Amino acid sequence: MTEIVSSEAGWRYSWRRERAARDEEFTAFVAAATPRLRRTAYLMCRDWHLAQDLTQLTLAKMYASWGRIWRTANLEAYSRRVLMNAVFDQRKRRSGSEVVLADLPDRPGRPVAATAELHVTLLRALATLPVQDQAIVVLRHWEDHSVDTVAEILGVSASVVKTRSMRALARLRELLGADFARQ
Amino acid sequence: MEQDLRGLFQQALEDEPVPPPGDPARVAMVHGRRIRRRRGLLAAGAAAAVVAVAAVALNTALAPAAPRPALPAGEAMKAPACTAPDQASEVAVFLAPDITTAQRDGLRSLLQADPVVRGLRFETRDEAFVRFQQLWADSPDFASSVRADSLPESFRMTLAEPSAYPAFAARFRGRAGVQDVAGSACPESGR
Repeated sequence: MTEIVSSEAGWRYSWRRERAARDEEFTAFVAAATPRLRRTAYLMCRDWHLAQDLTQLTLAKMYASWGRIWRTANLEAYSRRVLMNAVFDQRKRRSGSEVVLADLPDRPGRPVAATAELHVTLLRALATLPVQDQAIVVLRHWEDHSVDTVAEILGVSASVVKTRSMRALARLRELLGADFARQ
Repeated sequence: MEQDLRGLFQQALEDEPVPPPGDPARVAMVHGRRIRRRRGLLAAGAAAAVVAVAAVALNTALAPAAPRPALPAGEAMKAPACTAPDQASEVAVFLAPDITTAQRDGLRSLLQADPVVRGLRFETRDEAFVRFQQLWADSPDFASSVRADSLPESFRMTLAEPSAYPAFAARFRGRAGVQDVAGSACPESGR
């Protein structure tokens, strides 16, 4: 801490080198993380265009803080947190102007016609849950994150993740009906 | 149920379209820089607000002492309780953002030659940033809103004689490249 920066030029040079290394790391991170981010975003919004936009926004926000996070943060978890916040924000904005479409059979437990369509029904059923519960289900059961990681990503306690996850799964089971249980 | 869910999610993702052309990293960098600039403006506003509040609080607390007309940006760098305008052993000379290399070098040799100065060292913006984060650790929102390059560089030193501070400050305040001189009676920890 006591060293004196002797020359402005040297300082600038090392700063540029540092920045180049940082950008390189960022490019590598984008290449590695984008496909999974996009798929997770899709499961949250059921719209590939929107998923692409949310992913791009997540990457931009991460780059804006990259100098602070690139060496310290758990980038995997951090990127999920940024993405989920983008999803939540988008949902909040949309809910002002649009009614959530729960195009679901209003009689829970009604058997689903074709098994091939079950995944469609799952995403529709998922969309009827509170948005944070959707995030918990997707992070836990698609991304395979641990309860603790999900808690960290969403900024809630592990017990909240556990109880809400259980409640969400019970609700999905109920909405998807007997076929699902038999799968 | 868990296995089923994963399988179903997998199926739901099977109609994934080909990603749009273009380099997502490059696009993110351009957009990200814009976000950072916007945040920088906000942070500057927040920092100015906090400095203003600190100035009011300090002047109120130190009412019996000689009043100081305005507090510099550097005040945000110190724990308020440690400010003592008449005597100071720990002194920082904050540098203006537009200081030239020649001015900085000149200032350094001047300080090195000054008989009351002990333990001169230079604090970069990054070092200032680290210390700032520690000082404001209990208000993380404010701490995280300030970027490394929004804090000034400074020369840090100990004065051999705390009572020499007013004269010292008067000598260096207003010198080209100097933004302000700030003194504290409490020894700074961690160095």
